[in-house]
Amino acid sequence: MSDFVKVADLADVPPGEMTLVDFQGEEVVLANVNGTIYAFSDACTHMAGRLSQGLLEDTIVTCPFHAGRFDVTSGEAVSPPPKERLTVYRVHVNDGGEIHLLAP
Amino acid sequence: MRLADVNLLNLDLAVNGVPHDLFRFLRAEAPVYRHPEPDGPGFWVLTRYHDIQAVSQDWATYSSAHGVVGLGPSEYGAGSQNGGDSPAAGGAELMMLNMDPPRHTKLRNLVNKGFTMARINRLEPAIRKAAAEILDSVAPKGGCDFVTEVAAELPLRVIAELIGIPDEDRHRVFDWSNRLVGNADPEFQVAPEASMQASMEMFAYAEQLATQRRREPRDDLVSVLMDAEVDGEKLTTMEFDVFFMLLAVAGNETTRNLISGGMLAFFEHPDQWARLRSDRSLLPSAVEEMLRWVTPVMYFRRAATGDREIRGHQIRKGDSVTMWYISGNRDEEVFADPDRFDVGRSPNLHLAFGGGGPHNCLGLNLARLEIRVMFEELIERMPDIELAGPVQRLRSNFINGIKHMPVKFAPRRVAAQGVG
Repeated sequence: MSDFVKVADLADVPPGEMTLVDFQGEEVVLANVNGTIYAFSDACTHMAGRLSQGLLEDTIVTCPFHAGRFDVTSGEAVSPPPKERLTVYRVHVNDGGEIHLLAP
Repeated sequence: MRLADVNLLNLDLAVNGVPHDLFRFLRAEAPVYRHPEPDGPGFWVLTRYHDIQAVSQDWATYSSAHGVVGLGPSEYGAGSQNGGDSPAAGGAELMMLNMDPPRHTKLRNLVNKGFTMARINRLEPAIRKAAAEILDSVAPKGGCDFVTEVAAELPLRVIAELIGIPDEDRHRVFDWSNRLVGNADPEFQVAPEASMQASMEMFAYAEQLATQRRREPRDDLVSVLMDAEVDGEKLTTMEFDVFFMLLAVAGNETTRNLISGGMLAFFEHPDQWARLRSDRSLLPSAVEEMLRWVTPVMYFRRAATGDREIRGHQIRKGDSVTMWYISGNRDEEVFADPDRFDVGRSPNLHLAFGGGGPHNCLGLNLARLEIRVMFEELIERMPDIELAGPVQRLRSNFINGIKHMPVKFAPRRVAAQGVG
């Protein structure tokens, strides 16, 4: 557990919402999909649009720049223009509702 | 044209229209150009799309922390940390625009949630109602100043609502915004200290609003900011003030100029107006083309934090690097026939919201929505709109702005409640 770093509390990310955090110098988005927290890089792999300002629908996030889509559970690009997958991070939520991340 | 003729420090640079021939020349002959300045080391001018994109995304090398507006030596940042002599200069480094991650990330997150696609999309009915009211209020006159009576009104109402500024005060924000951004324009700069005065007034107003919200929080950005903690600490008064100023000015000025500039593009290309009127499915691509065409913020700058090379030119630590979005958006290597205004253009991956990276425009979802709704309502309510006199442009080498643009249209009586 020592490699996990606390980045937020569960209360910061209500279901269906995203929040932006700094994780070891990287901008990372936390997304709450029906109570499960997923973490991924904020920068779209196409032109670095901010995904945290996009649209989260179920497990799919849409980039506000050019409407590229990713599956937040895997980071996979599911709709162009992006082709490369997003970096995703391992998430652990402890009993105290603290969200911890592990570097990929 | 010769390089010696290029003078981007000239405040009259775009007063008669953006000098696209000058930028075309720079892209072709000197895409990474060391621009001289009379009393300083000069600054780099990037005019090619891909160079702008690369610098924009590499925030660690190209820092925003020494100020992103202004072409000469950094006016604040390092200077003000050593005790800047003016409140405006002293506060600039507290503005999100002038910061790098991780502090920037934390401040950005405070307001990001207010500007997500989901949140903004919910505003569409209210924005449509506001646009309809604005157009109906000028409709009976058969003509108006499109900038002050139409283009300025919509973003002003919308951002005032989001921030939590009462209706009766929003024209004060309009006035402050003009004086801050138009500080090189004689119409707005009534005295040399006008922009300083404007920022002082705006700060005082922001603090008054904050005091009210502290007592009675509401669902607005002032309440969010009053409540917010960054690294376990509340925002200081000065941090709050500059946040307020950034949201109020950036949310107004840019969209106003985009709507005005977009309308002018249609006056200059009536075939494209006819095309859009006959096929409204082109509206989303028309919005992107207006963004590319107008590019209200012509440049931002960064400061190099280390030595780098761009196209064989040695950038040294501390150098100012300016990214001319207005030029990148006409880059022949990226856009086919870039000087053609084409409402069906696709793809259209313009740089009007920045080149990617942490400082991407916060309000991009909102701007797109306001522009689309305004032009939908214009097509619906004022399809015969035309230019009725000379266009007065803003004197600035930073903002591609229009101050006044007389228009005419068939007068229309409007029944109450917007019916008719």
